[in-house]
Amino acid sequence: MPKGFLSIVLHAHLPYVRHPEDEHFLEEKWLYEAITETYIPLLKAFENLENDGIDFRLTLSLSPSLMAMLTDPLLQERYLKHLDQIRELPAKEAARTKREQNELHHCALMYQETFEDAYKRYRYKYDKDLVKAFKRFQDLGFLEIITCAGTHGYLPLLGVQRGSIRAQIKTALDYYKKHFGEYPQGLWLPECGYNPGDDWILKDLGIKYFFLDTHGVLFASPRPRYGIYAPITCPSGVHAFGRDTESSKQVWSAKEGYPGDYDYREFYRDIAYDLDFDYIKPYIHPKGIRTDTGIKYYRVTGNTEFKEPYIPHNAREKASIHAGNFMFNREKQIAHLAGHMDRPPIVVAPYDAELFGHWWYEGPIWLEFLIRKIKFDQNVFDLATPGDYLKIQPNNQPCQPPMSSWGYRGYNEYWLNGSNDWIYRHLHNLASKMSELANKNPGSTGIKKRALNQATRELLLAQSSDWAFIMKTGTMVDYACKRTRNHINRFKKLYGDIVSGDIDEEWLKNLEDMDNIFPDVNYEVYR
Amino acid sequence: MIETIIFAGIIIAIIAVATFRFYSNPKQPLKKPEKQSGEAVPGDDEPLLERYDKDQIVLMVRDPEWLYAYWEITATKQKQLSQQLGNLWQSSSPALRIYEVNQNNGHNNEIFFDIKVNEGTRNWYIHVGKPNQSFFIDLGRLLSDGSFLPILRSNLVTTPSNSFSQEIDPQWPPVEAIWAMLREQDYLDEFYGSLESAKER
Repeated sequence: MPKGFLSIVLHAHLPYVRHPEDEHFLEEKWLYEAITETYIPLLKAFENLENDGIDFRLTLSLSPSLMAMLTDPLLQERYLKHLDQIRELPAKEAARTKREQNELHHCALMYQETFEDAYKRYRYKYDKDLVKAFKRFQDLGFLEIITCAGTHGYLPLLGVQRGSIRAQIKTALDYYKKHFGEYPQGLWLPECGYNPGDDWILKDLGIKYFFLDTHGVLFASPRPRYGIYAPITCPSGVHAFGRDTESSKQVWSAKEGYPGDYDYREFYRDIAYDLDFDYIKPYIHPKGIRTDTGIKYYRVTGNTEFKEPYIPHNAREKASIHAGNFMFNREKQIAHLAGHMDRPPIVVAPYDAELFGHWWYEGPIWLEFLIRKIKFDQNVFDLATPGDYLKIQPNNQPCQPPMSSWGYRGYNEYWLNGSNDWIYRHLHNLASKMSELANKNPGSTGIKKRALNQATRELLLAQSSDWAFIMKTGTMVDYACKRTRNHINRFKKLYGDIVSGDIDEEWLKNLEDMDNIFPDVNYEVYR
Repeated sequence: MIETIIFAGIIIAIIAVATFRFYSNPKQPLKKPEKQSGEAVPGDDEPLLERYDKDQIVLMVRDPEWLYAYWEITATKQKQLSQQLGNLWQSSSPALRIYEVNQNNGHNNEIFFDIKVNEGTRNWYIHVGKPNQSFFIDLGRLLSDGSFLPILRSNLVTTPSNSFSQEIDPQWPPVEAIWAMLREQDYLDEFYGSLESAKER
């Protein structure tokens, strides 16, 4: 029997950035980069483990908007075309570096192999459907796949209308069911944003657990007996798992975290910015905007502008050392905790999935090393998902957690400040109008039903927490404001058309093609 | 920080007033939107009107110390009030009255404080400085005789806790060895929540 459990949770999410109107829409590249650098490398790591007969348990949260993009035929074709075009570049680079910059040649070969492999996998092995590829690992018993709110709405700030929370979650769960056959056991609350009472909506929809940031559990009342090392049970009976600080810090922290290691790949030195414009032109945005190619030849090196060439072998070695260090720390931590607890401790380590591979290039290999080491090099703890833990330990302490999030300063400030507070007046009023429409038009059919469903999609898309987040970060702000404005305007026109009974069908058809998320959405979710 | 927020609030308020004045022609016919250049869907980039023809005040929680409110008073309501109050309206000024809800001490709602706001302002950040406390607010007018005329009442909100609970469940007494360890951690000093913040390093 292990003394306790480590629960690694990867939350994969991107906002819905699908733009049929423009084949080279800049923001769609977020998706392409995440596929090449995160989702495929994670799948590859899982396959390596599977092939070596190493069973594991991880939790993966796939946001509905990400699943919708990963299964969208237009985006699948676009990604494949993008990959097909960009994979020429590492081949050219292999020749160029051999001629001109031999110290980078080895690294260029690595990229050539990676891009070719990504292409083969995406096109042939996965047949362009990464949701299905991940599902296979759930079916094999290696992953517990959960989801989050429909468009990653930040629930504590939408909650004035309880209907908005229910619609975000119900739509997400129905969409999950479409891909996985049943509802998930757990839910990732977007940004870990929780407000007391929201758990009742989860309960009503059959969800057994969700996650909170560390203080979300530590500040719960009454004071939780085991701190964050065992789940607590909300008044509704839904369980909340709290994030472990130590394991978070080792991976996330700018100061102490692994990703800043000098041997690891430097994120900011993409060849798109270093090489001659005419040479790089076919692989960047057609308007000549230099965008990341994914080929980055340098390592972090140190706190300096001067960067040394990246040496894949050394980085791999370092990832192995860091995996060993992470495991060692968890062994100590869990053994210590187990000594003081009358039930097995669970250490919950949640991360944004895109940290692995996209930002921290070596992240997927690190994870693979970690899983191997946990299996063979220690016997203090096992990997487990929250669902697994609740089967072993269904009775947990009743507590009421306070409102909290895992954002800056721990509450709602990142999504409610001078840069983005203007959106809530609109989001709340639109939700009221949506409820009004749903209540006045039950059982609608034909074009009216289509308009009502499209209004629901527009409202959900406007509610995506990403827009407020981007407005606060200060980059791509225009895009986030435009998306918010567009979805609000689209909703308002739909509302006007529905109320007046004069629906502009051509316009509606155009919208259905543009904002095609959740094809089966049902406006009556807002009743 | 607070100054910045208030300043931002004022700027937004100015823009809001300007927008309101610009678009406040009430019976504008609904035109079929025409596609402007760069619009994926006709009507997409219409500027957003900050009014919904609804008298409302909505209160939100930012964190254990701060609330945020936005509101709208329709032209109809405004006219009705100014007719009702006559000269008093001219000399009155808009204000927010913040109430604490205390269920435990016998009488329910206590006036916490008032904030004078500018004419035409439509949102405000309110420093309450009280975690674990329920509040609601009234938007009204401070009259020249010092009295407060409420116009709209908000929803009720509760600020979150920012410390360990003092309540102990005797069936679940905290494990001191664990809590000693947790107290030493700086879990509220650094945030690792979002990828974008990680990138800002």
